[in-house]
Amino acid sequence: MRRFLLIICSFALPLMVAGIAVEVALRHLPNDYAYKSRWLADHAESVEVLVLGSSHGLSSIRPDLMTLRTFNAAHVSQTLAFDRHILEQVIQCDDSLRWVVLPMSYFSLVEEMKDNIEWWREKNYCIYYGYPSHPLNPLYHSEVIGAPKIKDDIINLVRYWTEGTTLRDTDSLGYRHRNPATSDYDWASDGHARAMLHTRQVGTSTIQRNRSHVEHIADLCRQHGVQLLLVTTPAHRAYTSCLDNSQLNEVTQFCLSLAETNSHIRYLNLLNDPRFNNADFHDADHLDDEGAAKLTAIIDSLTVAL
Amino acid sequence: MGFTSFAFVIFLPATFLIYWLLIDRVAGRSKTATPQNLFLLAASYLFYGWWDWRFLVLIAFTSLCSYGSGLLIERSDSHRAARCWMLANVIVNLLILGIFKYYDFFVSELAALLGIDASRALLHLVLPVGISFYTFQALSYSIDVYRRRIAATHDVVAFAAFLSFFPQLVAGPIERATTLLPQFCQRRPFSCEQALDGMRQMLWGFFKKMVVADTCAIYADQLFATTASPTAIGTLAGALLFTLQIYADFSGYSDIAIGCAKLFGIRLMRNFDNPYFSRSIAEFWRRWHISLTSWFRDYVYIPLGGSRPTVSDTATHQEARRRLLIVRNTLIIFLISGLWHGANWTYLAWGAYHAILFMPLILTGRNRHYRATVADGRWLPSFREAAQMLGTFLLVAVGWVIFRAEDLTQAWSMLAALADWHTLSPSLLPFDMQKLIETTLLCLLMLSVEWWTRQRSHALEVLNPRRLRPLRLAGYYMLLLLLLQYGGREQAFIYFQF
Repeated sequence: MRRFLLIICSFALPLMVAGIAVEVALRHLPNDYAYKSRWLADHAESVEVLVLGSSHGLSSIRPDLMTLRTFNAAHVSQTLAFDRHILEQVIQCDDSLRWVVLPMSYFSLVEEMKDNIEWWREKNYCIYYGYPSHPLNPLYHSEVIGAPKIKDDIINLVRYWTEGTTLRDTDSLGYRHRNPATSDYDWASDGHARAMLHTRQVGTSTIQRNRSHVEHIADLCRQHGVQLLLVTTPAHRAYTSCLDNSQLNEVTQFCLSLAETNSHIRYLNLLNDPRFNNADFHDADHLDDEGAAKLTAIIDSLTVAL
Repeated sequence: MGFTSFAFVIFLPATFLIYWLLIDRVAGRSKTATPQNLFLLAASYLFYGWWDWRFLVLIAFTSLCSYGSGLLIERSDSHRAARCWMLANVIVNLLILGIFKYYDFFVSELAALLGIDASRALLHLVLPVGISFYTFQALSYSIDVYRRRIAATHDVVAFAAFLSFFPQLVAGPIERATTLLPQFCQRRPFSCEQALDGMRQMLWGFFKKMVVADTCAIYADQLFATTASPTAIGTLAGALLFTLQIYADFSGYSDIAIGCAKLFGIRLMRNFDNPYFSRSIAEFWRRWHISLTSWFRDYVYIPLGGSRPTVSDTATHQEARRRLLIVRNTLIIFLISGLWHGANWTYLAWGAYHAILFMPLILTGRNRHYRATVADGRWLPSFREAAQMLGTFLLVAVGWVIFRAEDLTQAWSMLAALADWHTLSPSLLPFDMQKLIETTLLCLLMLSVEWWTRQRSHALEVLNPRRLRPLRLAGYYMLLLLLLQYGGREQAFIYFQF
């Protein structure tokens, strides 16, 4: 038995040493999760408008164009559970917070990270935001084991050491810049593909859980005297024409009913807003910088007016 | 818990260390296997109850029924009474299996046939994981006691541990009491070589499951989900990818199970013997899911009369009866085999398809050809052998399309699409070609290693520990890196659903 354990340990030791070294290096590699989490910890008390949400929030609202001090805490594929967790952390130490902007997309109520193809992103919330999930499972607490591809991690590290390229994709206020779509962009097929990707047949429990996250966010905002703005961001007609009506109605009706019954909640449905045209889109469901500037102006006028 | 779950990463080392460092010492003092068996039983029930604790009631009931029937068979005064006890156990176990696995299917099909609404009669029961596997193992015990191939055990703990032994509980190999039960009746000493061999076999199993099968699954699932207008290239790619996926998945599971059992001093039977290097369908069935195939042969095919007519017939009648028996029994065995996989017409059609392929071989007596490993003593197969292997592989792949399809309509439309040569362009595939090439390379790596080691009991078996040690170590590290690269969240094994 002793011989067996000795052989296994001597085999595993180099692997563990290498693993720990890569883990430490990866955690020192600048990325958006680490940056935003640190920024919020350092500056939370000064934020007046907090933007949450998925890529629909990340590349739609430009804090630099807002009148009130704004920070964009959205991340790609961020679901409502993580929006709630981030808000819970920020609202405790931010007395100046006046608005929370929460994008409510077509897929918001049917999407959970555990069912998402990008489920591995959950580890970023566990590592950098202290999200209390799967406390003992290294898949959710280690960059090396939880990464989707170790090869990509190694490449990222080498690029960081040799070229200084980081994993930061957003500006200092958390917004991700996007170029306009190219002139030959195939709106129809992209719109259809994205709509299909976002259309889900899920059980009522998923919808119920997501509803309760929004309701909890609404309660938190009410308790702290913060206004909650629910926004369905603009999308290209090629995308909106392929959406499932019942899934879409589920979101819009839920937001409308929340806004009707709560004085501190507003709902802005800009999904088919005619003010946005081809030049405003990066792809079928994401705005480019110009489109984001337009949307930011709309939100800014609302937040300043109230 | 599944083998690729995080819970198992904690469970296995903890069980292993407690078993050898603590329980083995107690067993050494008592000089019996009972402490080891008791601990393995508790660990196995924890492992199985992880899915749903209610399943434990079922397996405990099956264990007690089969154990009791063994004792009753042994104590029976007459052959007739022994037969009754054996049949009682078979009926009880098959009834449980039938209710959980087939009741809803047959009721709804019958109702559809009669045009009545059967929704109220359906039970909607959750299929307990591995029920088909442990039920067959329990059946084999009482039948073997009845046939006097093994004495009934009086050790209820050893029997329960034998039936619920966690490495092979949920997806086999379906062990025979004659080979596995005696191992539970005596104290098992620790063997470093056996444990190391088990670790190597598990590593190869994890590679096949987490790297090859799960990567193939991404694309195979996508292709089988495209039901609207299947293309020739889509069906071809889907068939090949699923053919490799199901092999890597199930044989990967078997490697992990066999390797894991070795860690506890238990030897399980081989379940796969390079089936895709077979030169005929008969050879394929000798090498694919060996524990199930041999189970059907011993407990269904031979009792049905096998391929031998009764001696009282005249010579001319004998040949005619022999052929009739062969056709009938082959068809029965393959249809049952299909049905064993689940309550769906696709499984029955898959069984019938293989029966049709198998029948000419058994009727002409060519089913016993190719018993030795292909290209024995040579590096490469001859042209004839390569052509035979390719032909068999393609025939098997067609069968997997029927097996994997949601229903017979989809199976037919996919197979019909193969005839449409205009849709054979790779550009019609709904995913990135680079990813497909990457997956193909992984499959080739698996098949190459298995070809190279086809005469060993598993791909990473070491014949001479001192030979090429640094190269072997580098290979193990490479496999671990591939696991890190491609592994991720737990993906269920295909055969768990059966």
